[in-house]
Amino acid sequence: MELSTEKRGDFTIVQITGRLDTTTSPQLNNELDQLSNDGVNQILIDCENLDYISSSGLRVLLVYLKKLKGAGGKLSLSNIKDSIKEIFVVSGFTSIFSIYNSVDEALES
Amino acid sequence: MSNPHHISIKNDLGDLPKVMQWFENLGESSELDMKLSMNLALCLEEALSNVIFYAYPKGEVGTIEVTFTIESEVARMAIEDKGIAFNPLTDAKIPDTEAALEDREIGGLGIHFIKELMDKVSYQRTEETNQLEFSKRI
Repeated sequence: MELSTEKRGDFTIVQITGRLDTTTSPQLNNELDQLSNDGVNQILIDCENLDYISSSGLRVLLVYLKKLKGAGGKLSLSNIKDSIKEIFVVSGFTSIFSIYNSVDEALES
Repeated sequence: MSNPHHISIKNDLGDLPKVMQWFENLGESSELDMKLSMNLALCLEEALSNVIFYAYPKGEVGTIEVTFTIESEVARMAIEDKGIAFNPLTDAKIPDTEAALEDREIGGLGIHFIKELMDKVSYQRTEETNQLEFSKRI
């Protein structure tokens, strides 16, 4: 898995490429921890190149959604591929996350 | 494609990518539908990570046996370990996937995926072995 971050306006976009699984999710956890320590509280996770996600990846997303929302911030998702959308539905994450069709749509919201 | 397929790993997170790669290759060589292959891979990862994290006392080395079979249009995964007895169908916490964010608890989704994404899930404790099996019609 590869992570890249980009600042756009008030948002920091974290783009995930590859697999977010038991082995790689600590890497995302560290990145979000670092951003949160730096005072970033509006994060968009762009999933355009995310090919696979398991419960350990979802766990990291949920932990930081709670943390950022609790501090008055945001954690949104964009560009979830059809092939992994079912995982977000089955986990019930579609009702607690703001999910957008594109990065631009998320930034305009 | 010959049947069944088998791999043994240790209860070590470092072995997880090896078994996931093994299954990815199997999915490709058996021309499984991409979605079915991904859901089986997900359920395999969830079952294995549970065993790796929780089945053995810290520091104890255990072996996990994984067998994958395709028979009569059904893809079947069997996972065996000799860790503490744990029936994921009755002992695992059931997550409330409709709860509001503030009430949403962290964890429990792995077993939930296996129950939701597979057609059949069964568990047996035989002597000292946990046997978890799940299957999906192709």
